[in-house]
Amino acid sequence: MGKKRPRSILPGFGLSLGFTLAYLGLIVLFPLLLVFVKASGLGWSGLLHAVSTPRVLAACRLTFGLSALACLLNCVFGLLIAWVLVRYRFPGRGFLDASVDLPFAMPTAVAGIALTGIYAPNGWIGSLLKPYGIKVAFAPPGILIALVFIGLPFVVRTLQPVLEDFEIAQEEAAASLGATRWQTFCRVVFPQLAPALVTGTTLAFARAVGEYGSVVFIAGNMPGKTEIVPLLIITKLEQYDYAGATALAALMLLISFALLLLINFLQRKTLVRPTT
Amino acid sequence: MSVQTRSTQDPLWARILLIGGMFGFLCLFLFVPLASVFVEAFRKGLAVYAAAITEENARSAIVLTLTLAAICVPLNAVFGLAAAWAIAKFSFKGKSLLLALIDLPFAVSPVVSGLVYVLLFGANGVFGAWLQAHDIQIIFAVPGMALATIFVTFPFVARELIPLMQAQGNDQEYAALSLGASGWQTFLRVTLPNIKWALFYGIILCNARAMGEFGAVSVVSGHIRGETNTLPLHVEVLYNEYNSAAAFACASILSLLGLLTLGLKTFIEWRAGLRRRNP
Amino acid sequence: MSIVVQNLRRTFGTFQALRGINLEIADHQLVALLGPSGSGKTTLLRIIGGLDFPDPGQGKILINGEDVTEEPAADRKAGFVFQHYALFNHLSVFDNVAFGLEVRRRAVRPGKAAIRDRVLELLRLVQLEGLEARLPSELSGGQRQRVALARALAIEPKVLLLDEPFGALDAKVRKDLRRWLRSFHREIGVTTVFVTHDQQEALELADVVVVMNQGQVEQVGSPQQVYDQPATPFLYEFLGDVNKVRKPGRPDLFYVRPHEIRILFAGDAEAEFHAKIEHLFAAGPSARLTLRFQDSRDTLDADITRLQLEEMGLSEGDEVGLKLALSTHG
Repeated sequence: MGKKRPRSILPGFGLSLGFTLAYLGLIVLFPLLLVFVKASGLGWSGLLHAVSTPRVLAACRLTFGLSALACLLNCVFGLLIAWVLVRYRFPGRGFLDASVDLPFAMPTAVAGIALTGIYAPNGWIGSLLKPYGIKVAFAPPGILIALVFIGLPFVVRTLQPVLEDFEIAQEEAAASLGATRWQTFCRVVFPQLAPALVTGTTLAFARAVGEYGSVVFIAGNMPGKTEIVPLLIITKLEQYDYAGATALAALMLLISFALLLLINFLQRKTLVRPTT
Repeated sequence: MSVQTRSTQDPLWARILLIGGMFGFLCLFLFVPLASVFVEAFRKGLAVYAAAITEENARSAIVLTLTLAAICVPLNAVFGLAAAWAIAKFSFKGKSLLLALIDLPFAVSPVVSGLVYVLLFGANGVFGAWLQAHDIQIIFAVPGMALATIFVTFPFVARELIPLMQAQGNDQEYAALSLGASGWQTFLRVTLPNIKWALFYGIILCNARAMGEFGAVSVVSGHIRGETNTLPLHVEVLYNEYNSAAAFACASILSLLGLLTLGLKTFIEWRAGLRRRNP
Repeated sequence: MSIVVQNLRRTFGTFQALRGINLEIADHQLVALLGPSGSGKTTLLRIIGGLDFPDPGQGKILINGEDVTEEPAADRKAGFVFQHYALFNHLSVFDNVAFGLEVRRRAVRPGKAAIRDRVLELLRLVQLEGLEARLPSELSGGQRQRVALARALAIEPKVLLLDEPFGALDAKVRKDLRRWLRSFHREIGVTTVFVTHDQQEALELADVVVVMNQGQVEQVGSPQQVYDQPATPFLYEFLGDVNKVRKPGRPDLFYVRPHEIRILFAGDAEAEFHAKIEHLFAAGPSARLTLRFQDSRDTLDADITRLQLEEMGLSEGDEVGLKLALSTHG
């Protein structure tokens, strides 16, 4: 038997891949796997029991409902912002473009107390809304605002490159065929942006369901009313209800994985579109 | 360039409406909250601000935050380089699975990221009894917080380097080897200079998240004042004690970190001709 | 319909893309706008199509005698075929062609059945029947080109404008499509203007060739006119092979095309000049000689038939006599 032909004349394959796999395995895969091992130790009935209490169900409804609503809002405003940033030229555009990443650069706890501060009943904006009986902070609308805040960059940054690469000649073609500007947008531009819009919105949703830092201050954290799932996990941990926390964590992980698969699938669909 | 020409321009009223809408939205959600951090921080004057950020617990929180970043960023940078070298320079089975797994920590809720280490090293955890017997503290101590931070910042460097190195291909490395360079020389003199901006970019983002992380660290910290409180956790403690001025003073330091990150990020994008993309 | 361009100017920043263009195109003509890149030909086409506009007050466009200078593209009914076709990637071939009809106001929109008939008729006309359900990404370059043409024709355009219609195609398809477009134009008879930087294409295809350079019209004429009687030195160099040489012992430059040089035996009494064959290339329908004048560093190329080459028994290094035919230009 002859010596195996080397994979490549470049060195370091074994070392780099070995380190990558070991580090990934120890830091990420093994701990995550453990959650499922621990959760399966509870058995089906135990799991079901842990996640079907009224408190957990209420937290799930709140988390997923508000996340969905927040990413719908981001879908609308993200499209608007991406459109303006790519298509219009006006003073301050570069600054606004850079500032879209603020929610990403800003530590979540800072965003949390800042949003709480201004939307609280005695805050800058909260005090304006108070006379109309609108309560934002310490109520579901506050959570919604925090989730919109952290989700915005995902939609804008997913749409921007697609919009930048969009063939302007297609819009000119539509115009020369007699279409109005609105018809051109609805029939030519929007359908081709839609896949990227769905991808960005899904990314924002995935981020929103797990978000903790920016929400926990503004939420009010009333069990059954304004308590989100990540907070409930922490609460259960603090009460030494490890089984309950693990069951909820496993549920969240499954949802995360499902969303990750969906995003991968969507991104592949967005990428293969050929430009003629 | 896709700037509008006259034949593809939106009507003036639409442009005004859209720019106005964007400006209003960004003000409401980004600029007003950011401004409020600094206004609240200085509300009680410079002296209170200075006291709040130099007070002992704040100082130890800053030191701990810097320590965690100093542990996590180099480790994840080395990991990013190793992963990018293996994935971009060689072909092997299961590569796309590996790519997906590297991105996994971004999909996991920060709270769950912290929880997994409690399940491993906590008092009731898998290794809890053994650790206790040997008097090793991981959870509610710096090692646990470092682990949780590494987890949440795991993909940052790798996901900047992998696509770039894949796009660059192996030709330059082959050329260096054919000219007699050793493997290390090739990496240091050919590969590294080609990826330095992307590496720097990844490190900036990794650092910002490491210093600002809240949820994951909160789960494993135990909130021991002066010992296991990072700056974001210190902000929470102060805020919950209704010490708003001090909380915002500490938050303003973190905000400056965020703004600095944003500035460096924009500079690198401009300098290296990178395109803004998804966080 | 006729197109008239009057005194048209267009500036981009400090760059003058068009500097006072005057042009008249008669009904039913097939016109080539020919010029090197940056000559302003595409800008002129876009302004005719309403996709761009002249500097304020600087020029007019009349279509069929009607001033359309300020009319936006959507109202102008100019069928525009884009260089890279600009097909709507998400729509089928059928929906691409139907687009211009479906976006009409309800009052003037044909019924569903009428649209269907018209689209299918157009697809038959451009020889794409049976492909109406395909997406643009599933078509070849030549097929996309014809979809773009059918789409532009669907709105019953007053004029048809094509920007580098064969630019993105490979050589073989290019030739076929060129021939096809020529007969197609005869069939539909719509006034057609196309932009090209390929002189061969312009000369072969067009009734009238408009040669542009640096934002100005250099010459307008039939293909034969612009080739045989170039109006300016630029045209000489731009259109076809040309030798730019100094006659031995005289300072003035002159232009002569390779096929306008007669090769004689060195001793021939008719010979005006004498030169040496420096290089001989005979792999093709004709033979090309690279000649060097005696006592000069100038060389020039001459084309002769293979037959003449054999009859005269020429080879490299031989001394020959030259007689320059026809036009020269100083």
